[in-house]
Amino acid sequence: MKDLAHFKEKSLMKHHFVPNKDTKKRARLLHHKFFYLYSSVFVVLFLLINVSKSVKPGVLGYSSEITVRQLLDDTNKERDRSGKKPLAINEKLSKAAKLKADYMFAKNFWAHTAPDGTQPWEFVLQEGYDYAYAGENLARNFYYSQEVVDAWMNSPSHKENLLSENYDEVGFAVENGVLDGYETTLVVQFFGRPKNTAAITTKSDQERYLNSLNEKVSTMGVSTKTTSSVIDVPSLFRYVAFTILGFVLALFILDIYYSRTRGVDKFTGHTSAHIMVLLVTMFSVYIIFKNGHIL
Amino acid sequence: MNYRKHIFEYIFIGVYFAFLIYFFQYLSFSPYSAYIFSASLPAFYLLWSLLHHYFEERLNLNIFLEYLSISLFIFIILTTASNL
Repeated sequence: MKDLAHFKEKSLMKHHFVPNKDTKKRARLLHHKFFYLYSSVFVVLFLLINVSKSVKPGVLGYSSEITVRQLLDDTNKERDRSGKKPLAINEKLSKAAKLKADYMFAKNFWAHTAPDGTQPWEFVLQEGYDYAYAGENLARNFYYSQEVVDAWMNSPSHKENLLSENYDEVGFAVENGVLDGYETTLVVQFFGRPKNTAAITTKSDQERYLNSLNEKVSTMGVSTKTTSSVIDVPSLFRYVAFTILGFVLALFILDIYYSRTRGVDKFTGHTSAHIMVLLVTMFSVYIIFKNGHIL
Repeated sequence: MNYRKHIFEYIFIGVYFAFLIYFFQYLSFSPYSAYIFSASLPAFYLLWSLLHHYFEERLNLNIFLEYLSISLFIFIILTTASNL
């Protein structure tokens, strides 16, 4: 009797992971009720992240290694590829970009026009840059400078700004702060052509400015202190998502293998289709967190 | 299961996934495209499964619930990821 009970218990455990030949059903852990449980893990995680954002803003964040010099190089590489002349970095435009980034953190918004109606050009004029043409590109939550420029190049309107022949100069700000409760890095790129074209920044002025930035560059990306104090949201979410998706995928693969080798004929949906859609989901999660957002 | 009988349905879903991933790679910087993607992937999968099993004459409540739960699972993962 004891052996029979032990066998039944073992069999019960086994069918959590492999299909049941008698009931013609999948492993219990692949039952639709368990999918609601797996889904609830993400809902709870989402709620926890949002509560953390409100209770302790800045604990969660996105880390990055973006630098002004690299952004300038990548921007000019793209212009060079399209046969356009390179943009000169302008200190006033960079200061205006920094003002804009600081304003977005202070007012907690991410847009070209502030909720109070402040236009990007007001920051440019505030820095004394008298422009004939001006433009703005924004980016957030990217890891590397190249990714920011790639994203701008993949968007027609941003690409137009980046490659426009109306501009001679550019300014960048890479600023860290708390936006929507997350510690994040904002990139502001201002383009301009001064009314007085004789005022275009010279090469020596550019070098001087970039060299003066060098010291700041190390602190312009997320500083070491900030990176170690925040929980990187993409890494956390990816870890949870890949663990659960990997577990479910493994169960489906085991389901196919076990059903074929043991001749279990189930009356269920198509396992191969489930595997395919779950792999697409895994890849999508990777893509969502690989790229930041641009505006 | 007879794969050959439904080969076009499998090719169709495979091509659709490839198409969706290809465009999503280039548009994922836009939050709106992420939301559209998060909804369209599970919605399409559910619709495909219903039609597929209907034509196979195997559609029943259990199969519907199986696809519904997986589609909902995918929707929740992608929606939460897009909103973080």
